[in-house]
Amino acid sequence: MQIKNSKFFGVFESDEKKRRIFTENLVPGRPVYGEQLVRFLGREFREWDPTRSKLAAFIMKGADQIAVRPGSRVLYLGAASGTTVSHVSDIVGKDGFIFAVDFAPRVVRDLIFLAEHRPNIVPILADANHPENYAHMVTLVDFLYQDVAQPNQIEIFLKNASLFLRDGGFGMIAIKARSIDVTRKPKEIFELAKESISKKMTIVDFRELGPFEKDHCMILSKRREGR
Amino acid sequence: MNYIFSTCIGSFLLDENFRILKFERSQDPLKSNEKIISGHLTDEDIALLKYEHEAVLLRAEKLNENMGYSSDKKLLRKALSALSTPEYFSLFREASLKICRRAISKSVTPDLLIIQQVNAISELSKSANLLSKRLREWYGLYNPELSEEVEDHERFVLKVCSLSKEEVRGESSMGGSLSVSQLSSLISFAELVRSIFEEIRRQEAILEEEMKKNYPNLTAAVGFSIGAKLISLAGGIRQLAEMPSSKIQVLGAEKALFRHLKTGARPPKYGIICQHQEIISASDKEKGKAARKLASRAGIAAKIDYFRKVQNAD
Repeated sequence: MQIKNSKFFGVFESDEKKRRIFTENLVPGRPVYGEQLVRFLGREFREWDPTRSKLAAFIMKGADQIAVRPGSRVLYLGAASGTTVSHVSDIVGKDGFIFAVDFAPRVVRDLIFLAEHRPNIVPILADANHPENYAHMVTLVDFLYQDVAQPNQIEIFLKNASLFLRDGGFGMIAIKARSIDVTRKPKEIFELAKESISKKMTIVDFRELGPFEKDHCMILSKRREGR
Repeated sequence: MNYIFSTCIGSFLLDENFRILKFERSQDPLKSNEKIISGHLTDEDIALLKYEHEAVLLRAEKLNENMGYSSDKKLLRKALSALSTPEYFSLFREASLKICRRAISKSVTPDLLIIQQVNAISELSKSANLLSKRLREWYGLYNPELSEEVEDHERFVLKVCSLSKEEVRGESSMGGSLSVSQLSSLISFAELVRSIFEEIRRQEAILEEEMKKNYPNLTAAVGFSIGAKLISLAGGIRQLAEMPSSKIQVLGAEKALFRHLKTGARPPKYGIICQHQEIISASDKEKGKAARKLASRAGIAAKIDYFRKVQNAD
């Protein structure tokens, strides 16, 4: 098996029949959640499992761009235990950094253990619903990523984008139809989500994440200049 | 016009083009963080204000001091942009790690311990049940009559342990004969199951004390066991106190509730509170009504326990 660059900076793929994607381990020798480590030409890669990470699912579903790249400054809302965060940390590398926000002390505990080994992660225990509560702990960023299961997740996304995302920066939101409204059809919810996001941002890409994640979609959008 | 922007790593004096004129680094990020969150000036703000009286404070959070400040988003964004460099990032990282560690240690409250204990008890019960069934099968080869005679698992296990001598078997027993080592391994397994039952009793006694001590009203309203399970299902006493009683009523019946919401099937009448004596003893027709009453009482009690923390007899 050989590992080669993919079309996204910082993301790699194998040449096998069944496509697998990888990121280059920022902390060689140390897996984060039991993922496979692969050595190739003296470099170490971590397999990125699309059933465990929505960003990986988005790539597997044929994303045109992922907007996050080496050196990006990232605000990550809904970091949880840091599965996806660890891959984003691999991608942005030594020159980038990630503010990883989550509300639950239990998962921020795991995030702290992760951040101890990865110098580009800042864990923040705060409610993404109230950006004013952590405005004194973060900076402006190039990329906003959000994966929170809240009924008002779109409002949260827009609030954070309006305060922390630089002009021309990209925001990506994983939408879980179930947590917005269990009784409505996911497709309807996705349409509504696109509509409300497009009022403030320019939508660049939209993909449903099945079969990796049921009733989820990913929306990539760009902040308009000078707003 | 100059600005002062306060952060957990210290305060920045910025000129009108948002260039950093001066950075007053925080000696104690925990303290600076507390001050900013509670809407007060940090020591660094005060130092910068002495240096530059006219500067306008920039705060996203409300400032509870008797002075003007700005929360203008455009200005805040410019300040946030000025700090977005690798040097400040590593300071933010250091400060955030400290703040998070402190916050996590503070987040350990009695309800979290109770949730773990309730779940431990429920898992112990499940294990005890499972192992008791295995013991019955195993012991049934040796002395099937006892298994028939005693239906309750716990009493059965106790009997097996106390009657460990071969004499216990009647003349006409259907059981086979076991060697000494076969019998002793059977008995040692029984001892283990007995100790699990003992552990459940012990844990329940401690849980009852903890519930009475920390949540006296909830305990008085629905009993310690259901009270603790409600806290566990809600995810904490705050969540329970903020929950409408209609939701408390169906806690533990999520499967039926979502089936109802999705398919329009009949809604569940009650969740975990159905274990309460008042509901068990209510007639079938009155069960729903009793559940509604009990849930609202539990809700009120949880609110009192969370917001007031004072004993209120009924």
